Amino acid sequence: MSSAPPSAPPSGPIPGAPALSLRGLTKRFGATTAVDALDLDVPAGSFFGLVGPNGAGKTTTLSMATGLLRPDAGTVAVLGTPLWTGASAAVAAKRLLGVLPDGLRLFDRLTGAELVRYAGLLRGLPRDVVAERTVELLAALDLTGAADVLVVDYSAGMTKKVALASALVHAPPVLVLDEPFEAVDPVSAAGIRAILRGFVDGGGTVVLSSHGMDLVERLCDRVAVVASGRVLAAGTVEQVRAGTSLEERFVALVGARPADAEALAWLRTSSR
Amino acid sequence: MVAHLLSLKLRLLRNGLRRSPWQVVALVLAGLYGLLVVALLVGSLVALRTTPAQTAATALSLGGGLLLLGWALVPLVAFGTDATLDPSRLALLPVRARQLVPGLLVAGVVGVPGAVTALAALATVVTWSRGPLVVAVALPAALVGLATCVAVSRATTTAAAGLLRGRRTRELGAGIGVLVVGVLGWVPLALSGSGGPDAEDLRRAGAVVGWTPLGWAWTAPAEVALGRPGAGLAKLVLAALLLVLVLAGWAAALERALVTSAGAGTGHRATVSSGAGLPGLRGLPARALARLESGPTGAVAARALRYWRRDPRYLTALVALVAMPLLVVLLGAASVLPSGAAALAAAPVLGWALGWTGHNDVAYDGSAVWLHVASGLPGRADRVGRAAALLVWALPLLLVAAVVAAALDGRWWLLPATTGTALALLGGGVGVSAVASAATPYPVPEPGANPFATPRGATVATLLAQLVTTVVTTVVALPAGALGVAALVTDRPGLAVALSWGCLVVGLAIGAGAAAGGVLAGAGVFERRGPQLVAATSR
Repeated sequence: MSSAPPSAPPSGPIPGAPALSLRGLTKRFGATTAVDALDLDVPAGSFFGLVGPNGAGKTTTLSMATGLLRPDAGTVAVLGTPLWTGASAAVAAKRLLGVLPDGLRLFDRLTGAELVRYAGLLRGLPRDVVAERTVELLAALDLTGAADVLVVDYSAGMTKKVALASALVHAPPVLVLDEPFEAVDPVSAAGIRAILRGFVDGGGTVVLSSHGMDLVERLCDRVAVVASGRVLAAGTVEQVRAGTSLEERFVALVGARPADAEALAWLRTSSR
Repeated sequence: MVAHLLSLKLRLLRNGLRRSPWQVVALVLAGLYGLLVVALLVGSLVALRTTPAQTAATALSLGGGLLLLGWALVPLVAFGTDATLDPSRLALLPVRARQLVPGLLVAGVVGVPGAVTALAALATVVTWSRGPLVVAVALPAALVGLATCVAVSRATTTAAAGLLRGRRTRELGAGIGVLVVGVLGWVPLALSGSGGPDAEDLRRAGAVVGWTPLGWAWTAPAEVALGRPGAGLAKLVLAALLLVLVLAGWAAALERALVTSAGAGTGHRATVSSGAGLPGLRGLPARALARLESGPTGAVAARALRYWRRDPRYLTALVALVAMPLLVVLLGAASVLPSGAAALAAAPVLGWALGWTGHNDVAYDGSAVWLHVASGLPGRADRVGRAAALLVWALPLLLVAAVVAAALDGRWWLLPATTGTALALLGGGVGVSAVASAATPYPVPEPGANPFATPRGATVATLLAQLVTTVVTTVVALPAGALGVAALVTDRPGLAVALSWGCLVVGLAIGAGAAAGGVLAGAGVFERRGPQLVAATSR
């Protein structure tokens, strides 16, 4: 890093740069290509939904976009700061990100409060700031009663919520959330939606992946449809759904097979 | 049903092999090892044919009894058991336990331990090919013995898995099991200290074991060969009854397992209690930990210290580490070991074990280590934090052990030597661990997972990583150890004192240097390999 050229990547957000800029992102696992030269721009200040069928490469894409998975090719920039081009730039880019991954463990032998504090301290926040924010976050996510319970004993929905609190504690300008509403009950989901809405209204950027088209349509102002590791359509929700509902458009884009009337006939109870 | 379960087992085995080349290597190595054991066992059993019947009877009674005991107990605590046909996974199928038992029994023979036992059991028929009547008893006895071995291992694991349902009880049970085995490991040493058994002791022990359920099947043909056909038949009948009993017990445990699903008891919501590890360890440590959390490094250290007392895997290691020097001292006091030598070894052995505990630390985090990677945590904060969490209690423990050992031994001038050697081993271990845990994490069981399951394909990577870290640590600490040994063996008192203090100085330098160097090198490795660590721990 000592021999950095004069035009070294700046270590802060660049005004006007997209919150997240993915270029030619590629990841192969053995013979399967999970993400295939994917290009995607998430404008700063947008509430961005990433939708796609199972196995589309959403989680792989978001893992590469957050520094958790090294791409085989391509670049990632967070507010103009490159993520995969060197250690010091990577640290600067990661500082701008709040991450909620899907399918990874938490340090679940910590209590909920300890985990959120831990996440804040790892980010280098002062102790009193961390303590204050932890109390507020747990209250906002209705986890105050479980603050001193080990995360391993949390339900799936509570685990999601405490992970979200850990992603928010350092007040990042860009939030990347993989399936944030999975296993979360409707009441908590409403609370999370309100928090995220307020976050975007305050100038932040949220990128989330979801299976729920209704949810994305209601919540997000921009959306990208991903399948087989490529972006099939991206833009504002109005542009992508093109007059129909997002769900219909999604099914048309991804190319669902038409339901065959004869198939699975034996499944109908009347045919027994 | 038998064919179904057998083909399921074979297919799981094949798909496991397809998933990773390491699995193939592991299976080949296990197979080679198994072949070696089979060759030794079958060779001995065939050779026993030409010995007096009494000798063969004693050998088979003790060996067979040990084998059956091993099948019953080892799967309970060895994290290497095979859980491919975990009964709780069959819970959703509309089948009764009775239908599953024969298939699971046959499938249990598939695999290296099953195959070795089967071949050895059949070889006992050769041992007893001393007349038609003996063979007529030996063949069914061997089959009953083999079936009992497999059935009893399945029965104990199924029953234990059923008993240890809640997270706490399960973790406690696994911890106690590990400790029991750890203590049992010392029994042979204790026995050998008392002069060792002679042939007559063995014969008597064999006779006794032969009449316990452990030896019925294995000694039935022996009774016939020794001219007591009545006793032989009685033992054969008893062995068959035992098998029926074990199968019935297994079926009952299985029936229970089939109506409680795999996930039951893990996802339940906890009550208000904080459930934070040993109750006696709260209060003051909690306040001290909170004070420690003043930055990334302190946070990592505090988190690691919390894990030392809350994660059953760490807790077990901790109790074993603290108990180890006590055992050495106790054995010394019981004059099983020459007390001086044992006491002198206590601190260095403890130092080595303490330093080595962290060599796979990242793997114990599991994929939770993503938080460190996503946070852009400096590698140095991660490495220093983890090392500090160990050293903060390991150093005092080591010093106390060295002083107590010197008091027991009486040769106080050797205290600097044992301390120096121990510090070199501790520091060397910490340094090697700081690099190894970032460079080569190998799979470990997850904290909440079924303690009777092992991550698949871990054996070879585990052995390699453990071997290399051990060897490197030993080599690093060698100069201090050499000075210490020289201080011990020299017969010139003045020189001994000088060498002893020299050992302390060298040991301190090596320990501090190795720990600092390892932490620095490990920091770079951790930063470079962050994404790979997440990938390696989230498989």
